[in-house]
Amino acid sequence: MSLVQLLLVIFTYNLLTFGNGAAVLALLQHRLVQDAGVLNLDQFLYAYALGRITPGQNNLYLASIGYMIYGWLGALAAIVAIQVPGYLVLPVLKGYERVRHQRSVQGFIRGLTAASVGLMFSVAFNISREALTGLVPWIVFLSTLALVFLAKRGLLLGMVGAAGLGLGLKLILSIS
Amino acid sequence: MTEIAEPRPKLSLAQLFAVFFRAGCAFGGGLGVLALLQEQLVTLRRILPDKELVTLWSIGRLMPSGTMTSVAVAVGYRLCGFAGTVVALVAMIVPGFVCVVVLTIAYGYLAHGPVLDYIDATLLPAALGIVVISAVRLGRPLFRLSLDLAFAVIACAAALMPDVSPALVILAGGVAGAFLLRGKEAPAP
Repeated sequence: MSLVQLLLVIFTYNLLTFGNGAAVLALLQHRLVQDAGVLNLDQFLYAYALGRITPGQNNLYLASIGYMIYGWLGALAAIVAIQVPGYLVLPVLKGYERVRHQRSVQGFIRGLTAASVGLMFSVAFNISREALTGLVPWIVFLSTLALVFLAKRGLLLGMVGAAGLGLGLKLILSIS
Repeated sequence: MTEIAEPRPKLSLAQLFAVFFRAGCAFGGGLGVLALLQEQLVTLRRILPDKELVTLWSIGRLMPSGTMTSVAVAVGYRLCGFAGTVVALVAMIVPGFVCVVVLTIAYGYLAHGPVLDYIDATLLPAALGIVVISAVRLGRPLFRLSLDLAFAVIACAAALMPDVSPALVILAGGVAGAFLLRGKEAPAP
């Protein structure tokens, strides 16, 4: 698989699935692991795991896939391929600006916004099922809330502080 | 209704870079990044209203790209024009990109050891914390008896069902809103 072919695969799958992470993952696994054989399953799953434990958007795991196959160039190209479709939002917003005073469009945006808030809570619930699996994760989660709400620390500081506390607890528990 | 499309410079490119770089340091995927953006742009700098950020995020969900990619392009353009889109995207991506590539280089050492499990077990709950905070802060205007709240609850329940596309849930919310919410008073913030 050439670099151009790899980019076309990433670009097309991302476009066709509307950035739906799970769908892109399934398609990519089939194409890169089963069909092309450019990665083994271990490498693919490792790359995907990195998307969860590194900062930023989850789809940055594609940089790992690009790196595994084509080094730095592959990593950079993969990232560009997934960012470019984001520019479609500009013409969409231009169009929205023209019709935003219409009552039905205002209703559409209100419905869209309310549904999005619901979606945020569903995402939080889904993460909680994976994340809150024991005492330490619960301590980390509650510490984050406490640091941000009670100690009035910024989000980033709250998160890093709580995660650091959890890591310390994990290490102590693993030693003892 | 909020204004969205026209660029309205209120930040220098360097400040925009700093805001998005900080947001890009958040764990928890797109919602973690959104939480940091909300803190920086809505709470601290008061450049964007809550409602506008949620609207941009909603529209971003419908775009054929990562949601936060669309949000970065939209916010970058709104605040600093086209150059702002590039600066916002690059700044948001750099922290995660560097971490991902460094950890990929370390594949041989980390793949079968306990380090990744430790990181996962401690960072994911912390990320969940800021995702919850973000959802509460951005959803605050809806937390009273209203049709909007009903929309949010139904969307949440629908998104938790297996094999339901989040983009479809949001789109359905918009279409239903076009019929049921038009001309109605929005819940007061």
